[in-house]
Order: sequence, then structure tokens, then C-alpha cells
Amino acid sequence: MSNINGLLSLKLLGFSFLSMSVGLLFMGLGRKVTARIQRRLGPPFYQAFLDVFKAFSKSSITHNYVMDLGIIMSLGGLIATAFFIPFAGYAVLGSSSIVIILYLMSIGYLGMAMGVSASGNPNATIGISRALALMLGYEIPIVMIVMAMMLTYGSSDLLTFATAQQGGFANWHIFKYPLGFLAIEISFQAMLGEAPYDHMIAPAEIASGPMVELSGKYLGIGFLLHAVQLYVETGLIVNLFLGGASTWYVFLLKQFAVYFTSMCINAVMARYRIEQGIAHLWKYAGTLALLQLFITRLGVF
Amino acid sequence: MNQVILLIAIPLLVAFSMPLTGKLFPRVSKVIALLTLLFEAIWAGFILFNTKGAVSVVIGGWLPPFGINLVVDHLSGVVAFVVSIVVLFSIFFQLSSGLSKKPNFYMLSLLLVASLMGIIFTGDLFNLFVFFEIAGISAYSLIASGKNSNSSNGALGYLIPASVASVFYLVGIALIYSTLGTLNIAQIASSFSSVKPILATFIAFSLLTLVLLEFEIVPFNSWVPRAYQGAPSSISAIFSSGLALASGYVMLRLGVIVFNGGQGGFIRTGSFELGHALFGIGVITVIAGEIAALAQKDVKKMLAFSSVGQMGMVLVAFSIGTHSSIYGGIFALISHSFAKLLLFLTAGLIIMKTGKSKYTQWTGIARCSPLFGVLMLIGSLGVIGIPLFSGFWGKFAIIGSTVVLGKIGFIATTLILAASVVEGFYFFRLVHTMFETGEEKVPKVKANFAFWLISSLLVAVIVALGLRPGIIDGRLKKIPGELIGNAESGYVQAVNKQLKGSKK
Amino acid sequence: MMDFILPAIVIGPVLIGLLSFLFPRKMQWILFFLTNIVLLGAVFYIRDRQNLFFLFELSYFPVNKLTMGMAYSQLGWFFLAISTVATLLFSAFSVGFNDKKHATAIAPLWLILVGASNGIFMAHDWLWFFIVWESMSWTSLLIIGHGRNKSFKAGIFYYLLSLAGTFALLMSIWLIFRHTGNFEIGSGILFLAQASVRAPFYALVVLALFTLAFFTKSALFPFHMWPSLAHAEAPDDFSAYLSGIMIKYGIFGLLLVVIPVFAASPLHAFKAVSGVPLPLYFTGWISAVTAAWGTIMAIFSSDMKKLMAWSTVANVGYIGAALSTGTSLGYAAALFHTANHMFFKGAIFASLAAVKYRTGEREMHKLGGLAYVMPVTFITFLLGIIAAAGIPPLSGFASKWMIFQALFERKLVFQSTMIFFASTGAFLYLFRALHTVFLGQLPRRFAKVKEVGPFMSFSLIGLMVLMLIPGTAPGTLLKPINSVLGSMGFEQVKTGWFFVQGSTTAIDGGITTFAFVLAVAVVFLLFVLGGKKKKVEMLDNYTSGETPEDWNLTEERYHYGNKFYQPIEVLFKWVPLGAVEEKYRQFGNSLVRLGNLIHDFFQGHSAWGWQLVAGIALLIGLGVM
Repeated sequence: MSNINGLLSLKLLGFSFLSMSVGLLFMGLGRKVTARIQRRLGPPFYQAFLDVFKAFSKSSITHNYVMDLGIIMSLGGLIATAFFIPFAGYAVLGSSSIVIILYLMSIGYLGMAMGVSASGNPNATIGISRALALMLGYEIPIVMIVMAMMLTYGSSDLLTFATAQQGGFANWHIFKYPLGFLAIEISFQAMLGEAPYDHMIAPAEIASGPMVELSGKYLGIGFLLHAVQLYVETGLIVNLFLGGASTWYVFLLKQFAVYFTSMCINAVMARYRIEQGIAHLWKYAGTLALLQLFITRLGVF
Repeated sequence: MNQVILLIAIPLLVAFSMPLTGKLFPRVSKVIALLTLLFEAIWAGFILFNTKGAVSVVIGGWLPPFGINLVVDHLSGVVAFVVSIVVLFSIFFQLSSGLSKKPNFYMLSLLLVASLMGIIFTGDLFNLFVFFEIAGISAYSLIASGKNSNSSNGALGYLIPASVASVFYLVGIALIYSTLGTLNIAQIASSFSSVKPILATFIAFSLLTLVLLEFEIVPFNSWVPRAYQGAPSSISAIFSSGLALASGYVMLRLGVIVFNGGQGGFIRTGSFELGHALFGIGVITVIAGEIAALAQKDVKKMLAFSSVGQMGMVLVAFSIGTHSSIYGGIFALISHSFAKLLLFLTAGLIIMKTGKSKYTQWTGIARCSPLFGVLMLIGSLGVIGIPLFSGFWGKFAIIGSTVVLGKIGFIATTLILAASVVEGFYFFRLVHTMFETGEEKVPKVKANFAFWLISSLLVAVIVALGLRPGIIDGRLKKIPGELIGNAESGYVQAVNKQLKGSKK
Repeated sequence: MMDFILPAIVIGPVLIGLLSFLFPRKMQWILFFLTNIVLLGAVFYIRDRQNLFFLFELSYFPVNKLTMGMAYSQLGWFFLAISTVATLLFSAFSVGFNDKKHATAIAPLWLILVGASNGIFMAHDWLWFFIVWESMSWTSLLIIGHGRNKSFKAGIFYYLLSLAGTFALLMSIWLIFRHTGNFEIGSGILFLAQASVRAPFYALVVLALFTLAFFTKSALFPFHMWPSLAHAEAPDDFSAYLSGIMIKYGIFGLLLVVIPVFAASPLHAFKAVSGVPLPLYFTGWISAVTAAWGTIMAIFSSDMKKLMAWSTVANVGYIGAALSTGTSLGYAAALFHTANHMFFKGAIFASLAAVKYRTGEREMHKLGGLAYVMPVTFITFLLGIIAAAGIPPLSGFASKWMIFQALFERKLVFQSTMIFFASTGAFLYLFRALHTVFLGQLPRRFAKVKEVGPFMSFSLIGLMVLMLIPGTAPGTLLKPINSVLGSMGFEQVKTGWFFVQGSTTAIDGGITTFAFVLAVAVVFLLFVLGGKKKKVEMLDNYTSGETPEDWNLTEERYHYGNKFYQPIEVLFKWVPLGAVEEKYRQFGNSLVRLGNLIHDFFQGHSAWGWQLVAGIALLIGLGVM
């Protein structure tokens, strides 16, 4: 474990901005991808940065202290999670326990949920309740895959999983745990909140759900939330299945590859109904993950 | 120890004089009856505390088998003392409750207590029969003296089966006399092993039919619910705490001493074991009694069925016949007497003052008069056998004896404990209903000094025994030794010693 | 050495409780609070005094030389310490809660209960244990009922299951006595360990009876449904005690006898699955099922106390699963989670009691927006649910993490999956409770609601502290837990003040907290640097251009609280929830019907005739069997 000192603080500060920037970059590129699929030019790749700066520069409304508290807590929690994701083989805090990551992500969720619910708009809460219900659907397959890997390596550190895949394509978990990768891909779509699982936002249905009362810097933080979420979750997949990376550009490239796939799916699919969504997650992602777990368990026996 | 006869003689004398005094000085005669009962209790206590071992007292100088003897040992001393206290408290309660009864009522109670003492102390089977009959007659009339519709019903329902059972009993006596030539319990015990097994079993059945009926064992106890409900509460209390106790005593006395197959177990005939039969029927009684109590709304019937269940458990304990089980059974019987007495008297008071006898009508009574709720609570805890109250030590010993008896014992224990769970339910249901906040106005129940005196004494006994079983442990632990062992038991040896000693 | 301090912590509260029946209600509660302060002092006075005991002889014929009483054990002290701390905070809360309008009469009974509870933890032998255990049961029944019919029905369900378990305990005590001749706990464990080889069936039966007793008390499947009734209907301040402390008695019992037997018995005595003895594997699955079931039922609850009661059931499932791994990591995790759950569930129930105190409402969808007017209560509840969800850096995470580490050590991945499911589900229902009660719109009738008084606030803040510290510094609880493990002969967990080593990884509470604080600081900086903000009122919301006044919109109608997780309810329509409760209820009804049948058997006038015959036949039949 790292020691707490000024150097660590600086490093953490750096990682905060890294995660936010990477995420915003991806968001911009993602919009480009979607646009191209829809046969239009799309905004410039740095659009997300512009959006965030603009959002922060505008004035905003707030309903009560809980909204402020919630929003701050959520981005704080998510950035803290980002600290635990090994970036190109480097874990800044010295620990990359997957259990910490999975649980710490919840603060992001909880904070945002709390903040937007305190706005008093039922649209926001409906979005949250759907998102939480969906979470029940996608967390289980992810956890099952993680446990399968833990059985193999006897460790729950993300860094261990990443370094175990070094030394060539064939070592990547995407080939060693194909069923698991498929399950994770499906769950990942839900985790990001992209179609067909974009129930949380559901623009046409619930007026953007949680974002409905966010304005100005609150909206900016909301954007940053999505950005850091992108960073964290793509980083998770890269470390779990795509062999991590030893250099930062390869890592970023792999992260973007994951996001690219996700945006493609998002561009062409429609939204499921919420109970369909949960059911499909369990049926497809869940069964695949369970199978993977079974196979691995029997192998490790 | 000729003084033992006083316990039987004095109440009889006063009872016979009561029709006259009752006509002339009604109030005074009732007080005299009460004082007689007080004397009974004090005298029984005196005899108990002076008992060091079994002592046989011959009446009228005629030696058995021609004459009758009274035997005072720890068992009869303890049971007599408890019975006398029960009757004293119940009648004191009745006298002071304001619902006046005719002097004849008190005469009958004196007869009852005399006959109960006779049952307890006598050493002769036919004498036992006589006293059973006297007790029966007093009992029927006392039940019928209740003022509600079930009274005469209950009395008849008791009279007819009991009379039939008495006939069986007589048959048994006849058989014994023709084979062994004596009706003295100790002498029968010494020579019972010489009787042919099949005949012995038949005799056992004949004698036990009456005893089991009085002891409220299923299925001989059809008389119980209506009799308890019909009788005045004080009489129901005497039944549950006195008569049942005495019948249990007889069961133990006959069962272990007479029908003794050695080492406390019961006789065997081929593949038939009397001990197993009694064990099984005891378990059935426990289950039937508690489940029936569960379905009851009428409080007196609920308490009646609860008694049935407890008696079943005691029978199970006696039928096992080991030292611990006999000790446990007696402890349970004694504790039950006190706890049930408290319950019946409190319930009786509430029924008298409010006229409501269903527990669903008792909602909130304890809100205005919390002490009644507390009394019912303590009585219930004493009966269920919750630790820190008297019932626990008896039940604890009984369970300890049954659970180690192999598969059957384990299953039986499970059933008995399951029935206890049911018991816990209906008692707490009753107690809690009394404390509930209902919508209607609840009448305030006031009690007089006599009631508070009696109930505080009972509470003191229940709690004291619960905290310190040692209070009676010293006396109780001598009992199994005096019972078990056929000719080696303390009881038989005492009688034989007297016979030898008097054959000068 | 013999010391009267041990019985003092039992008899003292009991006597004070009996005495306090004579005092007026407010006095009773103050007395309760003061007694708890003294108890805390006493508990820390006896800390680590290993050779303390208090024994006395009882003359009781069936048991030769019956010695019974209390003895110090490290395990008992741990439970005693955490429950005394928690009870002190609850009693402070109760002093404020029980004002003229809300006061209940339960304080004297609660004092007696506390005395009995202390007796359980410091028991030297089974007879003493049984006596205080039963006393605890019936006093808690009376408290739960507290004079209300609906509460009594809830309480009696709990009591009957508890009684059944207690009687199972009674049987197992005698079954051990028969072979050891005494009631001592230690010799019983030794006997069972030896019997597991020589007479395995006998040992299993006795262990099963013990397990039954403790499972009924701790509400593990199939006895898992009583907390949702009892905890919900109990007096509001007492629910915290019930859900926090009393439900753990079964866990204590399991650690007292069942776990040591498995640890002491030779390895080949029981068949093992995945390194876990088969009976423990079985209990592990029961615990996992309990966790999942409790979570699903909680998701469906619309009554806030019922919801939290189901959450307790789920948490006990976690603890049971941890115990059943048979590893010292698992035992440590179980003890750690026991302590954490005590504090965070106590905090949650206390906050809910505060809400009920101020609003009088218990149905969640009728509340809302209370965070804006009751900040202290809100923050306590928030920290409580963060801890309950197992989110770092609060205490709940460290213990949940350890539970998973124990499961992973034994490679119990399917049980872990169910526990993860329960954990994720926990987040769902916890957020629902938070939102429907504290967030969203504040109903107009509650606009004037104030924060709770000083005693209650003190208690809430104290509980907050207890949730924060073990999260950042798990060592504060793990070091005492290590001494418990050591005293029981188990391997200790590698831990420092902040750092804990598990089976697949290690965590550092200090670093996690630091990372979180730093990240929040960064965001706060961004927030401050951002544009101005203007405060607007709650109803001033985005309504797609419509004017709410047109449809008579009030806060109550605008608050999204009802049927919060309807999609999930739709999904689970086919699951027979409530089936077990139904079975129990039907059984009870059939017993009553049987009772009526038996009673009718007595009613017939000529029944006696064939009854005599039947009786004799029965005797003959039973005798021959």
C-alpha cells in the first residue's frame, strides 16, 4: 500500500484530471461515431470539453443542501474509484481490489441518486429507480465473472488479472473466458446506460431522468460523472479482458475500442422496457456468466 | 403419631355438626369451618416437618390385614400439606368473596378435605376406596352448587363415569383379596410378584381405571371441562390443585409400590408393559390437553384443559419410574398446585366481579388494575415452567428423564415440548389481552384483603421455589427412596417394622 | 477468581427494573439511561480479566453437585461490550423519545431484559444460559406487545418460534448431560467433538438441536419471517434494540458451541465440500438463501420498519454465511459484521423512530422531504444506509469485504453470488427508504416539523461516529476480535489499525478514506469555482411547460414514493413470497380446529361410556408396542 503524503496527493490530483479528461474525450469521440453512423458530420471531438466549460460558467439553481451534497459526493466517489483502476499497469494507490472498485462505484450512484432525488422532480426519481432496478440485473453477471477469475488466480486484485494476460494475444481473457466476455459486454452496455438499456436517461420518456433539474455547474458535474464513469468502466474491461497495457496510449486505445463498440450498439438499437431489460440481463448475461463460472469452478476443483 | 388421625377426624366431626350449627348460627359456622381448615393446614405442616422417615400408625389397635393403618412418609406429608393449604386458600377466598354460600357448602368442603387426607394417608386399599367415594360425593354436590347452567351437567358428567370406574376398582380389590388375602398396600407390595402376570395386569387395569379418571387422563377425563366450568371457581381450584394432586399421589403410590416390576419400572406381561402404556397415554394426554386449551375462549375451561395437560406430563414422569423422574413429577405437581390455584382464584375473582368468563371479554382489565394481570402472568409462568418460577425445576427434571430414553423418548419429548409451546401461546394470549388497550370502558375490579393475602403468599411460594428449589429439595429427594424397590422401599419396610414390633 | 461484579451486571439491572415499576414514566427512562452508563463502566472494568467467575451451588436432586453461574470469556466480553455501548446510545435516544405524548411503559421490562442479556454473554454453564435465555424471551415478548393487539400477534409469532428453539436447546443440554454429568459449556464441546467420531449421528442430532435453537432466535431460514412482524410492530425505540442486539443472540450461541465443536473435531469426522464440513456447508447455503430472500422481501416492502426488519434478516444471512465457512477469517468477519450491523441498523431504526416521533407516520409514501427539515436525522440515516450497503469508507464495507474474503478462501462462489445479489439488492431498498422518507417533496402538513431534541441528537451523532470509525480504521474492532479468536484457539487475522489482510487481497481503510476525501475536495473545488447558484423552492420544477396549479398539484401528489420498484415486483410475481408465513398460519389454524375437535369429544353426554372402553384399549395397545 502506498503511504499517505504530499506526493501521493499530487499523483491523485493528476489522476483526477486524467480520468475526467479521458472520459470527456471519449464522450466527444463517441458523439462523432454516432453521427457518422447516422450519416452526418457530428460535433468536433473536443465538444464535451466545451460543454463542460460552458456548463460551469453559467449560473445554476439548487433546491436544497442535499442536492449540493449529493452531487459533490457522487463525483468524489467516482473519482476515488478511478484511483483504484490500474492505468497501463500502474495502480496509484498500490491497491486495485476489485471488490473495493465495485462497491466504491456505488457511492457515485448513491450520491447522484440522492442529489437528484432531493431536487423534488419525480422524473429524476423514476430514472433513479429504474437505474437501480437495472443494476440488480447487470451487477450479478459481472460479479460472477470476477469470481471466476478470482478462482483461477487466487487474488482479487485487478492488477493481477491484468499482468497475468501479458505476453501476447492468446493470453487475453477475452479468449480464455469467451462466455464471460460476452456476458460482460451485455452487462457493460447496461452499466454505461446505453441502448438498449438506457432506461436511466430515457430522454423521450422521463425528460432525461436524473438530469432534469441539473443546470449550470450541476449539469457540468453530471457530465463529468458520465465521463469518469466511462473511464472507470472501460478501464475495468480492459484490465479484465483485454490484457491491460504497459503504455498509456495502448491502454487508451483499448479503452476507446471498448467504448466504440458500445456506441455502435447504442446507435442502432432501441430501448427495452425496464422489466424486459432486467429479465434479459439475467437470462442472457446471467446464464452466460453462470456457465462460465461453472466451467471455471469445475476446472479449479 | 396418632395425631395423624386428627387430620381426618376433626374435619369429619365439624362437618357432621354443621347442619345443626348452620341452622342456628350460619355466620359463625362458616367461620368455624374456616378455622378447621386452618387447623388442618397447620397440623399437616407440623406433621410434615416432624417426618424423618416412613412411619406407620395403626388405627384402633387392629393390625393389618384386619385393621387399617395410616402411613406417614415424606410423600404423604408433603402432599397432605399442599392439599390442606389449597383447600384453606380456596375456601377462604370463597368465604370472603361476598358471594355467600350456604353453610352446607362449607360442610361439604370439610368432608372433601377429610376424604382427601384419608386418601393420602391410608395404607389400605379398601379404605382408599371408601375415601374416594366420600370425596366423590362431596365433589358432585360442590360442583352442582355452582350457580351457572353447566353445574348440574358437570356434576352428573362426573358422577356417572366415576361410579362406573369405582365398580371396576371394586373388582380389582376383590381379585387382590382372593389371591393375596390382604388389602394392605405394603403387604400387597411385598407379595405382588407372586401373582400371575396376566392376573396382575388385569388387577392393575381395574384399579387404575378409577385413578386415571380422577387424575384427568385422556380419554378418561370427559368430565373435566364441564365440571370445572360449572363449579364455582374455588371448587375448580380445589379440583385442579387438590383432587388431581391426590390422584397423582395415588397413581404414584399404587404404581410404584404395588405394580412394581422392580427398580421403579412397572409390571410386564408377555409383551405388554404397563409402564409403556402409561407413558404413551400420558403423552397423548399432554398433547390433547394443550391443543384443546388452545381452542378455548372460556377461561375456566382453558385452565381445566391446561390441568389435563400438566397431569399428562406428570403421568409420563411417573411411568418412567427413575429417581429423577419421580422427583420431577412430584415437583411439577406441587408447583402446578400453587400456580393453578393462583390462576383459578384470580380468574374466579374477575369472573365474579365482571360476569365475563371469556378472555376476549377481558381486554384491558389489567390497564386499570395492573396487579391482576401480574398475578395471571406469574401463575402462567409457573405453569408453563419458565425458569425463575417454580414450574421450571419439575419440568426440567422430567424432560431430562424422557429425552434420554432412546428414540421413543426423543420423539415423546419433542411432542411434549411442542405441546408446551402451545401452552405458552394461550397463556400469553390471555395475559396480554388483559393488558391491551381496548376501545370500551373497562370496569375496575377491586379485591378485598383476603384475596391479596392469599395471592401474595402464592406468588411468594412460586417465586421462592423458582429461585431456590432447595427449599423443598431436601424433602423431595427422599421420596424416590421410600417408594422404589418393592420390599426394600422405605414405605414397605416401615409398615413391616411396625407389624413386627406390634406382634409381641 | 470469584467476583461479584459479574452477577452485578445481571442482577443490578433486573432489580432496578423491578424497582422502577413504582416510578413515573419519565423517571423510569432516566433511570434506564443512568443504569446503562454504570454498566458501560462495569464492562470496561472487567475487560481482559480472564479468570473472573461467579459460581454457586444449587441443591437439586436430579443433578449431583449442581454448580452454575457466570464466567468470563473473551467472546462473551466482545458481545457484552458492543451491546452495552449500543444500548447506552439507544437509552439516550429513549430518554428524548419518551415524552408525554409518546411514552411507553416498557422501561422496567427493558431493564430486566438488559440484565438477562448480560447474563447470556457471561454464562458459565448451560443451565444458567437457559435460565437467562428464557427470561430474555418472555420479557421481550411483553415489550413487543406493549398492549396493542396487532403488536402482540407479531410478538407471539416471534415468541413461539423462539420457544420452540429454546426447547430444542433444553433437549440438547440433557443429551449432553447424560454423557458428561454436568452442564458446563466447555466439557460439552469436548464431548461433542469426540462424539463426532465415535457416535456421529448422536453428535449431529445434538448439534442440529443447538442450531435449531439459534437459528430460530436469529431468524435464519425457515424462521426468517418473524422480524418483519416483531421488529416492525415493536415500540419504535425498542426496534433498534431488537434489530441491532437481540437478533445476534443466535450468532453468539453458534459461536459458543457449534463452531467450536466443528473446529475441535478431527478433520475426517465430517464429509467436506469445498473444504467445509458438510453440516456447515448446509448452514452456509441456508444463510445465503436467507440473505437473498430477506433482500427481495425488503425490496417489496412499503412500510419503512418492515423494510429495515427484512434488511436485518438479510444481514444475519451474511453473518451466518461467514460463520459457515469454517475459517478464522470467516469468524472474524462474522463478529465484525455483528458489531457493525448493531451500530448501523441501530442508527437507521433510531432515525426512523425520530421521523415517526415528529410526524406520526410510518408508511413511507406518505412521508417525504424530511431531510430539508431534520438534517441530523437525515445525515444519520444516510450514513446508516451507506454502511448498510457496504460502501466504503464506512464500517459496513470492511465487514462485508471480509465476509467475501472468507467465502473466497473456501471457493464458495455460488454462495458468494447470492450474497452479492443480496448486497446489490440492499442498495435498492436502502435508497428507496432514503428517498421516500427524506428526499423528494416535503408534504405541506410536515412543513413545520423540527429536528429532534438534544438527547436524541446526541444518540444519533454517537451512532454516526461508531459507523465512521471502523470503516477508516477497521483495527479498532478487529484487534479485540483477534483476541477473541486467539482465546478460542483460532488463527488471528493479520491486521493493523487501518490495514487488513484477506485471502485474495488486502484493504487499507486509511487510504480509502484519504482517497475519497481528496476526490471530494477536488470536486468541491470545481464546484466552488463554478458559476453562481440560486436557491429555488421545491415545487419550482421542470414540468414540461405545464403549470402545476392547473392540476391542483400538492407536495404529496408530486412525491414519487408509491410502488417504487414496480418493475421488479412484476418480474417476481411468480415467486411464492410469504409462502412460509402462510404455512405457519395454516398450521396454527389447524391446531385450533383440532382443539375444537378434542373439546367436542368431551361434550357428548354418553361419551364417557365408550371413552372408558377406548381408554382401556389404548392402554393395552400402547403397552404392547
